[in-house]
Amino acid sequence: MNKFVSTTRQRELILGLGIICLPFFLYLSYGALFFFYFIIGFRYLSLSKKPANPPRRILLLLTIAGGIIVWLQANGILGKTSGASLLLVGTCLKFLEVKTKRDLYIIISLALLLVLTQFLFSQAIFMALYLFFALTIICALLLGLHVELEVFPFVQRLRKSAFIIFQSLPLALLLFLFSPRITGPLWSLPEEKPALTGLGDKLEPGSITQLGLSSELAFRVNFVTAPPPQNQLYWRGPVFWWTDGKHWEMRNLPNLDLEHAPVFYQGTAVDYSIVLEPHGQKWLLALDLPQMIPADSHLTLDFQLLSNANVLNRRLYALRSYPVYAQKTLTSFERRLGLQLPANQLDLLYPLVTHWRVGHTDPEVIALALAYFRNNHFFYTLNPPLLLHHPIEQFLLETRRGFCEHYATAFVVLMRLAEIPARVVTGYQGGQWNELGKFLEIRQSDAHAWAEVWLEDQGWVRIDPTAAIAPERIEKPFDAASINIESLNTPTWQKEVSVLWSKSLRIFWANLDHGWHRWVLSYDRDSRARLLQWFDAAFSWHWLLGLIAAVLMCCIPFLFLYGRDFFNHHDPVQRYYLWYCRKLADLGLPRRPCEGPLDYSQRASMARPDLAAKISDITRLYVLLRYGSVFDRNLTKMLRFHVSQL
Amino acid sequence: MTGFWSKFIPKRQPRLDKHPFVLGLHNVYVLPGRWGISFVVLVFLLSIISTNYNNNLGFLLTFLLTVLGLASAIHGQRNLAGLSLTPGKVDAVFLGEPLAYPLQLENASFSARYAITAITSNGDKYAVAQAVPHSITPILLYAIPSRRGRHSIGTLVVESRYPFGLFRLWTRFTFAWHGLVYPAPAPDSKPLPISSDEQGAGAGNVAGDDDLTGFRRYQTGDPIKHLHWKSYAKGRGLHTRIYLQGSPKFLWVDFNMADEADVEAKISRLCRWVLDAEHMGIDYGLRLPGLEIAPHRGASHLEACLTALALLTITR
Repeated sequence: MNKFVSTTRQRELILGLGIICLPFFLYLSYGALFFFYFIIGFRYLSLSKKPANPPRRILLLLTIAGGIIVWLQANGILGKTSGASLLLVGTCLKFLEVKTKRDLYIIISLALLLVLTQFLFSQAIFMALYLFFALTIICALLLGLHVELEVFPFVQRLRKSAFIIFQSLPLALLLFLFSPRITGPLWSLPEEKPALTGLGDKLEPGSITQLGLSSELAFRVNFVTAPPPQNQLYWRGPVFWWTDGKHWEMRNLPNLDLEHAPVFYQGTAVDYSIVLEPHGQKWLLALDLPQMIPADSHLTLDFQLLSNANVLNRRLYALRSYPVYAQKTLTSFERRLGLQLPANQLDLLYPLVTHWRVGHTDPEVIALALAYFRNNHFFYTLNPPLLLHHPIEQFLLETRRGFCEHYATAFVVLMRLAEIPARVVTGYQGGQWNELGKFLEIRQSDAHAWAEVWLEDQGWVRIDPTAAIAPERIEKPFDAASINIESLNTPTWQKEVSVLWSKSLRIFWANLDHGWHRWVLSYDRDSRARLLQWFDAAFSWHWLLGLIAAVLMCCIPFLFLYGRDFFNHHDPVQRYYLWYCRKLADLGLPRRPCEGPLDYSQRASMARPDLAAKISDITRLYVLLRYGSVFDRNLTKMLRFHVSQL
Repeated sequence: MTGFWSKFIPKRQPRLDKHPFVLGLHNVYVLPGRWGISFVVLVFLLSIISTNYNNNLGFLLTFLLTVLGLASAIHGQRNLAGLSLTPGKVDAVFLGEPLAYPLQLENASFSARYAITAITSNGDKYAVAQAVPHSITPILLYAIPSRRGRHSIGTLVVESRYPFGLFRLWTRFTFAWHGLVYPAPAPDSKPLPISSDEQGAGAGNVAGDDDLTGFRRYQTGDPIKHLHWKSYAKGRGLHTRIYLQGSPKFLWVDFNMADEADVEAKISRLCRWVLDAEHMGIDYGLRLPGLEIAPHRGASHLEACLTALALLTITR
C-alpha cells in the first residue's frame, strides 16, 4: 500500500465521515445507514491487518448487498432518499478499496456530496450550523492529506480550517447574494410527496372520531398593509361541491379570468406575502378574494388559488386581496353543483327545511338554520362520535356533537335542501400574531371548514356555522400548545416540552425561524433582481462594486503578507517583557534607558530581594527567547505565566 | 520540473548570484493541480444540484467551497512567502560518489510553514514536513555527477500544495552553486613514480610488496590490494598497508608518466598517485600540461592538486 495512504489518515477520514453522516438518522431509513456504519466500523478495525483491502469478489458481494438494501428501503432508485442511500453505500465501499492518494480525494468529494444531500432533506437553521461544522471537519481532513499528521495534529487543523472558512464567509455571502441564479429544476424531479398533515382533497366528517390537531406550521404571513381583524382571516383552501352524503369531493372548475372577471372588488386592498410550508398539493392559501396573484398560479371559478405545480418546496408568494367583493352571475354549472344532493338519504330532514322555507326569504332561511344549531344543544368537540349511516341526518338529529367540518357540511346540505346553492370551503382560520416579528403564524391546528351560499345580488356569501356554536373558535384562535396537550397522538415528551417552553421563547423561535425562511431560504432569482434594483436605485452600484473590488484587491495581499506584523508589531516575547517592565515600574523600579535586561534585573533584585527569584526567572527566559536560538511556544507561555505572577 | 503547466512556463531563469533567495509574491507560481481541476468540477456539480432543488443551503455550501478554494491559494502563498533559501558549501567528492548540496531553508517568521518540497532537476524530491518559526532547516540535495570537474545542481524547484492541495505553488531558481568532482582514483595500484633526483623523470624506484612500513586507517582512494583484511576480519575496522622503499625527498607526479592510453584513465592514475603520496607522507609535485604545482604535502596541497586534476582540460 502507498505510504501516503497511512492507517492514521484513513482512520481520521473514517471518523470524520462517521460524524458528518450522523444527521442522516433523521431523514433516512436505517438499512443503508447501518450498512454504512457497519462497513466503516469494520474498516476502522481491520486497517491494522494485512492485507487491508478485501478481495474483489467480497467487494462485489458487498456492493450487491448494499444495492439490495437501498432498493428495499427506498422503494426504487430514483429520488433523493434512494440517492442519498446509494451515496452512503458507495462511500463506505470506497473505503474498502483505498490504494492511492486519489482514492482519498474521491472520499473527500463524496463527503461534500453527502453534506449537500442532507440539505435536500432539511434546511432548518440547525442545518446551517451543521454546514459549518461539517465543512470544518472536511477541510481539516483535506488539510491532513497535504501535511504530515505528526506536525499538524487534528485539533490544530480544525482550528486552521475554521479560520479559513471564517475568512471565506464574507465573499461567499456576496456570491450568494449577487451571483446569477437559474430557477430550477433543470430536469424534472421524481416527486416525493411529503407525508404531512394538512388539508385533504377529500372530506369525510363522519368517519373521523378524533381530530388530530398538530401544532405543525402551515404558513406564515407578513402584511404590508394593516392586517384585517381576526374574525375576517379566512384562508381559503380546497372547495368541496359534490357529496354522496358521506364523502365530499372537489370539482374542477374553469379558471377565473382576472381581467374580465364577473367579480367586483370593493373596499380596501390587503397586501401580504405568505411563506407556505410544502404540502405536496397545488393549492396556495389566500384571503378572499385575491386580485394580484403569482405568475405561476391561477384562480379557479370557485376562488381557489392553485399553483401550476405541486408545492414540494417551501415557497414565498405575494398577494393582494379584497375582503369585500361581489359576484353578479351564477353559471348554470355552478348552480347545478351547488344544489346537488345525495339520493334517498335525507328524508328525515325534508320536513324541517320545508318548514323554514315557507314564507321566508333566503337570508331568513339562513338565519333560521343557524338558530337551529344554536338552540338545539349542539356542541363543538374535537372527539365526535362515529357516524356510519346517513351521517348528516345522524349528526343533525341525534348526536349533535362535532367540529367545524360536521357543521359546515350539515349546513350546506340544509341550504341545498332549501334550494339555496351552497358549497363547503376548507382552509385555515385566524392564526397567531407574532408581535416580535410582526407576522401571523398559521398552524395545522388552525384548519377550518365553513360554508358559502349563493345569494342573489350578493354572490357567494361566507357563512360559518361553527361560529354559531363556538364563537370563541373564531374570535380567538386556539393556542396551538394547549391543543397539543389535549391531543392524544402526540408523544408525552413533546407535550412536556411544549408546556415547558415559555410562550415568549416560542414566539422568539418562531420569529427566528420565519426570518430564516423568509430571508435566507426564499432567496431566489426574483429576490436577487429586487436587490439589484434596489442597488441601482440607491447608488450607481457598478461603480460601487468596482470600487470595493479595487480596494479589496489592493488590500488583501498586503494584509496577508504584512498583516501579522502590522497588527502584532511586537512579538509576544517582547510584549510580555514590556509588561514585566511596566509591572516593575509600578513597584517604583522603572527601567533606565541605558539598562540592558541583565543590569536591570540585578538592580531590581537588589531593591526587591523578595522578588529576586521571579525577576531572575523572567530575565533568563527573556534572554533565552530573545537572544538565544530557541523558539518555543511553551517557553513563551511560561514567560507570560511568570510575568503574570509577578 | 513536472506538471502540465510546465509547458507554458518559460524555462529561462535568472542565475542568482546573490543569496539568499527570498520567496514572495513576485517569484511564486500558483496554478491549480489535477485535484484542483477535479474540485472545480465537483463544485460545479454541487451548484447544479443546488439549482435543481432550489436549495439555498446548497448554494451557500457551493459558494463557500468556491471561495475556500480561492482562499487556499492565498494561504498557500502565505505559507511560502518570506522563506529564504541559501546555498550552503558543497564538499568535493570523487567521481562516483554523491555530491551533497546543503540548501538552507530559513523561516524567520513567527508562523510555522508546512509541506515544502524541494525538487532537483533530475526529479528527486526532498520533503520538509514543517519549518518551525525562527529556524533554519537544512535540506541535503544529492546529485551523482557523471563527469569530473565543476558540477552544477542546475535549476531547483521548491513547491508546496499546502493547504488543500488544490493549487500547486512553486518557484524555480538557479543558484551559481557548484560542487567540485575530483576524478575517480584508479582502482588498481601501480607503484608510485618515485625518483631520487630532481630530474629523474620516469626512472622511479618501484615499491615492492614486501616493504611494509606500517598501517593506517582506510581512506578513500586506497587500492583494494593494500587493504589489511586480517584486521578487518577481527573487527578492528578497515586498514591499509603502507609500503615504502628508500626515503626519497619528493616525487613528481607527471602527466606523461602515466602510460594509460585514455586521457581520463591517465587522470585517474595521477589522482591515485597523488593520494598515495599524500598518505605515505611524501612531498609530491604535480606536472600537468600547462600547469605545475611545486612539491609539498598536506591537506591544502592535496586539495590544490586534486582540484587541478578535476579541472584539467586537454585540448588536441
